[in-house]
Amino acid sequence: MAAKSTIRSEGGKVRRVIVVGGGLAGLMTVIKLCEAKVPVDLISLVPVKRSHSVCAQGGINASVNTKGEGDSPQIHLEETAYGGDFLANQPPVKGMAEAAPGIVFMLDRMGVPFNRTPEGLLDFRRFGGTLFHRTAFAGATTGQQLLYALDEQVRRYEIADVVDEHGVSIPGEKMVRKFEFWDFLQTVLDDNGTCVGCVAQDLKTMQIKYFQGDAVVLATGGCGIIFGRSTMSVICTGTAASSVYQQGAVYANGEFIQVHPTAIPGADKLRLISESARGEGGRVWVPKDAKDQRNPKEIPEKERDYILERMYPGYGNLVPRDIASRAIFKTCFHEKRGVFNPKTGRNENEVYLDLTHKDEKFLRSKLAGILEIYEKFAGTDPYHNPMKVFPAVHYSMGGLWVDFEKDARGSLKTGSPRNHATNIPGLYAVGEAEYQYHGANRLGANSLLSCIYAGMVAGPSVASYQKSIAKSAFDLPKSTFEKAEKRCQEDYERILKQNQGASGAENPYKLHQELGDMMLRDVTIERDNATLEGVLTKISELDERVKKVACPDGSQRANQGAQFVRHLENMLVLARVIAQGAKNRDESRGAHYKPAFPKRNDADWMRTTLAKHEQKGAVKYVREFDYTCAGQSVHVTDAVDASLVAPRERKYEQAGAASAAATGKIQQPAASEQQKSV
Amino acid sequence: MANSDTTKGTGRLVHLRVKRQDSPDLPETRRWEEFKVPYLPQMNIISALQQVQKEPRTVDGKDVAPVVWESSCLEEVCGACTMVINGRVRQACSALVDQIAPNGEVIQVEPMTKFPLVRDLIVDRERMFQDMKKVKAWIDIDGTHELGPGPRESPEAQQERYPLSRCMTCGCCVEACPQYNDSTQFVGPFALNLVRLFNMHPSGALHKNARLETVMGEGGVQDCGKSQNCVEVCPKEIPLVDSIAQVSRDATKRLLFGWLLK
Amino acid sequence: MSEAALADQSLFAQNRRAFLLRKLHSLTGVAPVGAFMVFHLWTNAKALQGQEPFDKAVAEITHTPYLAIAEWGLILLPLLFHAGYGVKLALDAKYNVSKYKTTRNWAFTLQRVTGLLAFAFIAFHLYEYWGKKLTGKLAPEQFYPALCQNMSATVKGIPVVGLLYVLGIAASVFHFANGLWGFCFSWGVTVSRRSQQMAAAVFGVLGVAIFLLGANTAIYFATGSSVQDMIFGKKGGSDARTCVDILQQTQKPASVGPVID
Ligand SMILES: Cc1cc2nc3c(=O)[nH]c(=O)nc-3n(C[C@H](O)[C@H](O)[C@H](O)COP(=O)(O)OP(=O)(O)OC[C@H]3O[C@@H](n4cnc5c(N)ncnc54)[C@H](O)[C@@H]3O)c2cc1C
Ligand code: HEM
Ligand code: SF4
Ligand code: SF4
Ligand code: FES
Repeated sequence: MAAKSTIRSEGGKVRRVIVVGGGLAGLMTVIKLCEAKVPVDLISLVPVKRSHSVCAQGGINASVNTKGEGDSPQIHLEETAYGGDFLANQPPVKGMAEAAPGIVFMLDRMGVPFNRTPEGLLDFRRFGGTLFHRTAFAGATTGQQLLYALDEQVRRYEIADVVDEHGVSIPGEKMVRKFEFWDFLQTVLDDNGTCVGCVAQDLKTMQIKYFQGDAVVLATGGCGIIFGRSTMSVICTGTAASSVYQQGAVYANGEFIQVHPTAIPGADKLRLISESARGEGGRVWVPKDAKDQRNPKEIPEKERDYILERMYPGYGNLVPRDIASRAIFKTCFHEKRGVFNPKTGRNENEVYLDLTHKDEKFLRSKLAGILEIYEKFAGTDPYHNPMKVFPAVHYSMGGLWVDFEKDARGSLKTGSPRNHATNIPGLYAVGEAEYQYHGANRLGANSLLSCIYAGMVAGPSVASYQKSIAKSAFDLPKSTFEKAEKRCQEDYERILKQNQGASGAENPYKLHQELGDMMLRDVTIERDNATLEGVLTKISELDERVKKVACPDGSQRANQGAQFVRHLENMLVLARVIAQGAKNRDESRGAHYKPAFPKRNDADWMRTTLAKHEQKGAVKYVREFDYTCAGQSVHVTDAVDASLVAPRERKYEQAGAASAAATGKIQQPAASEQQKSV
Repeated sequence: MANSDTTKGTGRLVHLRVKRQDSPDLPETRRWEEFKVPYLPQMNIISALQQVQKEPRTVDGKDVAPVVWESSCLEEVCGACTMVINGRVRQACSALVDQIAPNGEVIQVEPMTKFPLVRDLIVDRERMFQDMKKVKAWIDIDGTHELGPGPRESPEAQQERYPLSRCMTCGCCVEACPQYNDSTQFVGPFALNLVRLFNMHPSGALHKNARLETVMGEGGVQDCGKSQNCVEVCPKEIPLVDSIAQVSRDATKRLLFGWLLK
Repeated sequence: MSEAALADQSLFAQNRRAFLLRKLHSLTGVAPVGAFMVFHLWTNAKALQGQEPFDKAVAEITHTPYLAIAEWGLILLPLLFHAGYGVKLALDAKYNVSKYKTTRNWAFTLQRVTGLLAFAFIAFHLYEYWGKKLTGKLAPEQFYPALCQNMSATVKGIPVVGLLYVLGIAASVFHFANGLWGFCFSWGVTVSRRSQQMAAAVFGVLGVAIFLLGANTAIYFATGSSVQDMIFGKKGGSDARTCVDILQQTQKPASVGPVID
């Protein structure tokens, strides 16, 4: 029996859904909810226009095939599954690949200034892991342009009235209410463990307040800051995902952390030089002579080692990121052939990323955004000098576990309330905060797509969930919410008060640096069980020391110190999930590489890592669990649904290997039906 | 990945002078505090402030609360970290210490002056976001369902539109604009630029007049005093003055002739 | 949505009042106020030829039909409106040229400063001549001698009033020339940066020319010789009474003007 009206609760209040996070995934969810006539409260740490999605540079994938290369969604699906080393469930990937052209056209209609062909059509460029021109782009600030387009559309809903079922505007109620500079603290769970709202804190006044919501959608992005410095924004601490994980949500594939091959080393951030630099012709090299001191421009072609082209002639500079990063790491670390620095007398951890053979005007029209970043932050002109880059933590393939429902074609069943549902009823997750689309390694320009696609799927999915619930969150007793609010208030006060004036109190920022330095050193490109054991011990030590943290700020206004202590505590929890997941997985797959186990092991490990929180300091990895969605019980296992593209070994040495099945170069063996859920 | 050697210091110090205030309703807490922090290679003002966080002690040895500020991307694309540095408004993340204080000069850091203060270096730029609603800075699409590709556009038109679309609502332009203040309701150069941007787009142009009307009322395009400070300080080098001139022209045309076409 | 916004499209629609007012301000600055100023400076230049031609020009104006209506309706009211609204604008701005020292920011600041200076100057000037004429204290024929007398008055050898006039003219002319530049910008004549630069050059030259025209007359009244006289030497031959003649009649020949020590 579902509630009578989806607009008003029994008590006459407007029924809202909460979306936490206003990156691409969050904003797209909001738009879809509004189109389904569901009013939304949008909560975000920063004004949504400043979300991390703004950093994305290179572009967004869609197999529109404008260049007549025969590209198709089927090939896109295959290359994504293949690039992700067959860890992704394929139905959602299929749904995404098929929806991609429509998504790019929609963005085009929203006014995104995508680069154009002379005929006035969308231009596409190449990205890693494919031989096709599949990436639509707006200069080299594509994420920014997409985010702005969605932000503008959401702004329209900020002034649109909520309309009841008779078509009458409800006074004072707008479709979207924004709460910016608010930090999500926890979900509010009712007595049945259903999510009925959340508690958040205003970061200006430090007021803690509960929000009622028939459902909560988490779109809070990635967690790169656990690694100290990364290509991510400083707000990407993963605190919200960690918090709901501690409330019982399952976290999947945490150990899969993408390291991007080309970033500018820096003290505060490792600034990305997008793959589009290579997509537009950039070449990675080091001097053949490791002690070569010449200016790179004076080193003749034949004395350069174009490492990626040499090692992977099939895909060259555009091999997937895990492979490129390992190659660069090997060159610099194991072979000590990074660029020689006469000042320090050693080979630095740097390789050349060279665009100087390209025409400056061409570069300006297609890559200005990233080349500006290089010029500003590295201080040399990349139009005429090869850039110096090194790999950096970039993306988290893992995230909150979310469900999907298949349709008869093996794609996603639209409107199913299971799509993007976490195992906490009423809690959904989209975007980088969830794990669904990228398997063990994400292909470039697939993330913006997956974020937007997730929003397009989650909107209708949450709307049908809302229809299914018997009682609106707005009709529950206040005490449910007040209890949660009180818990958060107490926790905040604990942070403010604990260890004040105590001798030997810890500084949270210094602890974070210790955590970050270790994670960056030991849990990224190459992993080793003994080292990971040390990492886990160290995390336990940090768990103890974090209890000794004294909040450096006692103010009741814009207290960033207290906020950071909370985020740090949550980061430590996820750090353990990541490190222990990495230790458990004795194989090499995608971004997870153990020299001691250099091969992929499908027999034992073609499965999703499912982490459940036990208590602080302990993770339980499960192989299956049950959860309830819209009143229906669902059994979940860790098997990967590879029903559409049969797993095979990745061979980027051979051109076309990633798309061989769809292009008919190999026989597609009878798809192994590996049901993920029953 | 052990390139963490970039965090090792060199003995050199960076000298910051920061304007602080605990809360807007506590003007008596307004004060200058000075900090000296270890220099790091390629250091910018954010990393200098981060060092202050780790060791919040002034040059006179007083332990204080860490300075608070806004930041997100650290690569000058989100617009969060705008501050007044050595008297000039700019992004703190792209203000490199080597460029502004190569010989250890004092670096003066203040919050923007045109917005309500929150605390220390944080101000509330909500007015900018409100004004984006006011000028209807969007394309009125019918919906997000599949309706095929958008209108065709020449590469030249795209190259003209794209730079205008890079505005990150950072507030530099309005901070420097003498006409943007408490005594006017001026929407500011960035908003006028958005009017031009959306009026240029083929579907946006369908609502060109509605958008123009929004900048012909109180606080509209007429409030620009042509000082051109905005274009000087815009970190994204958006041709704001061209945009204002264009919007001015369109609004003037509309005022003079619009009623004839009614 | 847009229907509602477009409902009232008339010239005087409430939702456009701010724009319309500002357009009127801008327009009045150029014409009639600005145009009159140029005309006025031009007429005044007749003084260089001596009192008779000057008086003739003044008489011509004085005997224009509907003079009062023209003076009030075409000059004074627009000027009052422009000046009044201009003072409000000048007070509204938050100046920051000490921080952002660009040419255009200087121009912006000076536009307002010179507006205020012009305001004071015009008020003083109007009181001195037009006001006295209206109240019957000064007949049009007395303008010329009065001008000669007043403007050549010196303090410690410096012709202060004359200098004040030169400054007042400089302020007004800068304000006018830069105003024209602004007018072209805000009426959509110069949209590109290039055309704006060209306009700046054109109005710069024009401004200098108008200033020379106006200042020359003031210098003439103050010193008895115009700039060209000083450079090329006086040309005798005209029968008209000149400033020098007037001053020689009233003063001892040693110094030119009255001394207000
Ligand atoms: C430098 C860089 C370049 C990239 N380039 C590309 C590219 O070219 N193509 C591509 O496909 N992908 C790219 N990516 C990846 C892609 O940008 C991200 O994966 C994607 O933008 C994530 O979007 P999101 O909506 O999930 O989250 P985000 O954009 O990170 O948004 C998270 C939102 O959640 C909010 N939030 C977070 N925590 C809280 C909290 N506790 N309380 C309240 N709100 C909270 C934030 O305020 C924000 O609004 C790039 C990534 C980086 C770092
Ligand atoms: C000699 C008399 C005056 C003349 C010839 C004159 C002329 C002009 C002109 C042509 C403009 C340009 C209009 C535009 O911006 O489009 C202008 C602008 C202006 N005038 Fe005057 N004006 C005079 C007196 C005054 C006075 C007394 C004030 C009072 C302070 C004043 C204040 C202003 C201001 C503030 C502007 C600036 C408009 C802007 O740039 O936004 N003016 N004036
Ligand atoms: S040109 Fe106009 S908008 Fe720009 S700073 Fe000057 S007054 Fe402000
Ligand atoms: S126009 Fe430029 S200065 Fe103004 S807000 Fe946008 S980016 Fe910042
Ligand atoms: S932090 Fe984003 S612009 Fe500086």
